[in-house]
Amino acid sequence: MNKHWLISRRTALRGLGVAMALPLLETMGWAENPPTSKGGAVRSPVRSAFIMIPNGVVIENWKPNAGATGALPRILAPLTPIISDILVINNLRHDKAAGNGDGAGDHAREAGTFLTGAQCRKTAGSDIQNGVSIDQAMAEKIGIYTSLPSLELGLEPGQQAGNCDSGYSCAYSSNISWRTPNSPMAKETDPKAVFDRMFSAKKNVKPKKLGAPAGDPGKFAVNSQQGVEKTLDQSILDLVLNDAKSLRTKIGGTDQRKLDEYLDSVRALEKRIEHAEKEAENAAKAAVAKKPGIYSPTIEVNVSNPPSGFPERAKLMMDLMVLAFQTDTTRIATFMFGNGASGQTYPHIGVSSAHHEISHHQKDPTKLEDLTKINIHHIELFYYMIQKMKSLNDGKGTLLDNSMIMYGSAISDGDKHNHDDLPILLAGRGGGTINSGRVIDTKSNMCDLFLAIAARAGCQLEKHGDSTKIMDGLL
Amino acid sequence: MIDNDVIFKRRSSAFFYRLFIVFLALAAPAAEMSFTKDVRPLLDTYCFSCHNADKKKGELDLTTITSDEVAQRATKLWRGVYDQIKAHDMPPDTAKKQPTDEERNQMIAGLAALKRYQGPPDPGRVTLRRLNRTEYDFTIRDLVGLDLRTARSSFPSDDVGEGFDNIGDVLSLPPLLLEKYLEAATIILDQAIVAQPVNISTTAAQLAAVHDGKELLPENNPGPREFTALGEVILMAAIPVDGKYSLKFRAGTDSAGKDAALLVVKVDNQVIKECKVTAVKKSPTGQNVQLSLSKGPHRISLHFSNPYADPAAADANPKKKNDKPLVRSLLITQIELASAAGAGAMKPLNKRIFVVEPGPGLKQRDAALRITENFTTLAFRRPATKEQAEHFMKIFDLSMSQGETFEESMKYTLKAVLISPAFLFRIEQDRKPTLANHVYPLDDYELASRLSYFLWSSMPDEELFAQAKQGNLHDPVHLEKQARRMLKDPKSQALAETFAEQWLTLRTLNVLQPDPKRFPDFNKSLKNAMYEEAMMYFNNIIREDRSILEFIDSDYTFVNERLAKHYGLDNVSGPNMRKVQLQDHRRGGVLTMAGVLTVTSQPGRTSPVKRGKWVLEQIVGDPPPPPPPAVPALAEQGANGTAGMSVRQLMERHRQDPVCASCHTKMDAIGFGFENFDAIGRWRQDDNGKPLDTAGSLPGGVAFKGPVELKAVFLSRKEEFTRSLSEKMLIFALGRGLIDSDQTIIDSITADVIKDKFRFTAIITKVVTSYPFMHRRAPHAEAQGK
Repeated sequence: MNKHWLISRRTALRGLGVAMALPLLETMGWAENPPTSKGGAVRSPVRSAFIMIPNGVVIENWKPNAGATGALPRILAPLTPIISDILVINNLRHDKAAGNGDGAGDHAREAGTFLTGAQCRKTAGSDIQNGVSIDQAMAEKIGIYTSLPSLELGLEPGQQAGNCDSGYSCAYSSNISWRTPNSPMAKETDPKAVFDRMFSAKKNVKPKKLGAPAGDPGKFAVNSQQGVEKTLDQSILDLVLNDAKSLRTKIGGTDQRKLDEYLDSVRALEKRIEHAEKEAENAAKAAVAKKPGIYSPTIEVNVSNPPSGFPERAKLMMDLMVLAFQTDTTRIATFMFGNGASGQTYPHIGVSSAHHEISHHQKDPTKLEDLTKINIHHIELFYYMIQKMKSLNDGKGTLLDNSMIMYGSAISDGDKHNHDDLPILLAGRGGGTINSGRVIDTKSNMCDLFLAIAARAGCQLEKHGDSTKIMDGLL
Repeated sequence: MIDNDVIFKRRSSAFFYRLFIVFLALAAPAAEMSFTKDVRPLLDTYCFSCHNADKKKGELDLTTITSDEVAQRATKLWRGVYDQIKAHDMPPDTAKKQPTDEERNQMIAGLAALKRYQGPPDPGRVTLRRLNRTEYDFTIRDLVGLDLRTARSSFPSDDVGEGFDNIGDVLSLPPLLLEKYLEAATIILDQAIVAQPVNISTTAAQLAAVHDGKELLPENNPGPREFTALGEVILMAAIPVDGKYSLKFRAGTDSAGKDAALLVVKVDNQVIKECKVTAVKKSPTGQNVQLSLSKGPHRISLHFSNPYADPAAADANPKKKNDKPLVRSLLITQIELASAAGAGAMKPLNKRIFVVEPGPGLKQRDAALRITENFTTLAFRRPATKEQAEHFMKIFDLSMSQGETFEESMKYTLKAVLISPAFLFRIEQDRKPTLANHVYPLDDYELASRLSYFLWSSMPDEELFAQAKQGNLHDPVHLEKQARRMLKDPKSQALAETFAEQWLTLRTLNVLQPDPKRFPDFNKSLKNAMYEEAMMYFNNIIREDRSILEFIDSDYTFVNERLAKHYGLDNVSGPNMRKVQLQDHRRGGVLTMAGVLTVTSQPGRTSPVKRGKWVLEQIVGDPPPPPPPAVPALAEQGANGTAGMSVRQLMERHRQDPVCASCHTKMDAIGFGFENFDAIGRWRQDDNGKPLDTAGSLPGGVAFKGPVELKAVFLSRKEEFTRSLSEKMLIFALGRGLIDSDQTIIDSITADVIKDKFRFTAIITKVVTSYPFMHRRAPHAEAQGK
């Protein structure tokens, strides 16, 4: 296999208060990309992120006219310096986020349906049923190339009280990423834990035993099965995997489903460890191969003393997402600014009422102004992440050029709870497959867009949620 | 025959009482009622105009049910309809046609029969429950004896369903969590199993060696380790912790040539030190070398590096030699490796885990097997078989073969137990149904777990385990006895932290931020005191087995100086929370606790709607339906044209909208009753400078003014509250939402608790001896049922 070294040099990554050396970032995934026709240059992988803001927006202050030039509407104005990297998509809709006979609960569905395009079953407890989310459908296909198949991040922990919204379990409003229709992917809200997790699989890889060399008459037997040495942790995972399999035959119904979640998770962890081993091996083998100048050194992220303020925390999480993309730790991420119906207050920008309460503005000018402020605040944080990605070299082009960062809400107007005319942005050029810097007007379904994003990331999906059609007009 | 009892139990509030008198008179004829003849025509007159296929108000179409047979199966639907009609919520006041009292009673009587669960007793099926964060932490505390709270600090939050975070169906296990489990198990066992000091002492003859390129294994060549050519003695050592170790060896030499014999100490083939050996072979002397070793297995070798033979040695005639040896040799007799001085202060082994220790009479592996068997039994909460223990011993054997220490190998073995499905899930294996309708009783160990996780959020203790072993627990008398014992144990405080905290929705306090401009003195210490008040109040009711009615009202509460100041109480100083006697009934009970009043407010103002809704959901057990979409919300104080209006005035403006009025009448009335408390629960006399109007009335015409009178109203509806609390307790105990058949169970629990003077233990003991708590439905029945 032809190997390409994509990150030019060993860089120190400061986290946990200590410097941590990252291995050279050569991955299976990058090598598997066939060189392009002209000259066999290496193509960087395409990364995708899906970012959710809760409670809709003040759509009048968001929506630019299709094809319009000139000043951006107030909420989008902070994006002006990088607008050429952004595609504003007007008039997308999420049909399944509506009640469709299930009545109220738009905020449970704004999160639940956001990436699944499925109708969440209205239940407070038993038989949770959603669909698979687009990030997980993609991770299923391309997750094998990275240490983490996907990364789920957020700023608010899952709601811990009562029924979250009108008879819907809190599982819906707290999770946008769903691995199966019944199993949400819990999100990580602690920056330090995110950092640990991104690089934890590497900790599981032990250096080869220093024990006896071959032929040494020492006591320790070398544990090898067909030459593959497993760590004890891996042997433990093998063992419990078998336990779970045999246990599965002794229970029935929904119990089996729970055990399947366990089995899947053990397998996922095994894959991560194997992947980290390969990475370590590759890095060790070819520490000399260098191709300077094409790739930026990894950004520095300090998680040793995470800040408590909202914008600082948001920026740190976004840094981590960028770092994960840059180091090819994952190619797929989701991020929730808040849970469905988030009641976050924003005193630092002069908004002391709860976000959800304000979103029911009833055209009250004070509330519209407050909601606009929150919308702008979120966009400014989004801008922070996008400009950072734009500043990083990533093979041919910037990291942003090789990414697709979708941003928006499954509710348009928080007061009306309507699920059409959604506020959606797509940043990045998807490896040269998106013609950004435009406003397009579409009558498409959100899932059409998801299929278009997936295709650009190398995942050919026949359908997703309520769509079988790839949205056009992005290029 | 209609069961009058049922209706009585459902709601016996004062304002419905008159209704019952009328109803009793009608009861006899009602027995002959049929849906099609007696109920449907009335529904047609008063309900169908909205609840039809076209309008489907509230997503409800009543017209589709046309036969008695279908009607009888729709018990759940009728429960809702019954509640609405009985509470005079429907038809709405705005409807043109209103039923007469007689007609309404006729509907109530008919629906009471229809809503009753008709089927055989059904315990339902509780989905396999993963330990949630609290349960994981408490189980670890009781299993290894360390209160580490690893889960609470590092696991993702558990999703909530039915108001609680212990619902089997909702607790999922994503890959992220499995990684956390592995990490947590490592951390926990590292803390629980401390490394023991190294103390190896052996003769060199017992060690493997290499001499002149030939291997000498102790089993084949047990002789003295004397070298005349290049060679080494090898000590394979498992090192428990990074640190300094002292290596001692005794060696002697036949010295030949000019130089002394050189003994090179190597660790993992790296030279550490060269030692000169000068003592003669007959009386070897000891030398000491300090080694810095990292945790893990190491190959320590003592290497003879300078063999020498006098050319005369090659002489065929040895007689020519003088006394001086011609060939240099090195003899190594004894080797010791020990933790350096000072490192010996390591802690003794954790007796809870190490029930035996290897020693002269007990081989390491046998000890490990017994330890594993014991640990697995406790962790899986049922006796582990030898096979199960042997299964985990595979990890022990593997670890030992890789040169880890005994303790380190135990860690790996028990780590496998801690990430096993049988530990992480509370497994109730399916069995052949032995009772009608595919039901079977749970076994004693399963009951022990249900009981201990209900009351303690943790594993069974020794006594409970012994009771299970003796097969006592399937006897309700024993089960009840255990429940009473366990409630007296301090571990039952878990009920406050789990049940009460969620019932009272106090977890929200953590994330809540009241507007700092309006409430500058709201801070963490006040927040903590609010939380502690509720916890101590709840625990006090458990500990003293008091009446559950004290949740509604009492003449005492718990405060510290900060909270007392908040409440306007004098003579309380210091940060410690304590019980105080109250002079009036403005406080006392959960409804008027600052914590509850704060979580039911908006950041900048009170929210009578939220408070009213909270009371209906958590206290009355009659949750209002969700608002229709696009309902205009209440304007902020000071927004256009509303400057100077009180919250009440704002709300009444809002309620002029008939869409809102139907539900808000009840919610708002209750909320207004609590308007004497501001958004952080302080007593106040006015709102925004405007006088308060806390008077209101509930449907049926019960009038009240202010929180004291309102509490009295709820107190008079004892049965309503008992039923509501029983429902919540049963959901929490079972880990599933209620099903139709549970209504019968709730009826009987409620009646028993009333009989037992509303004592807290009554509600607990009735729940644990209830049919669904003690039984389970086999899975195939579920398949048939659906």
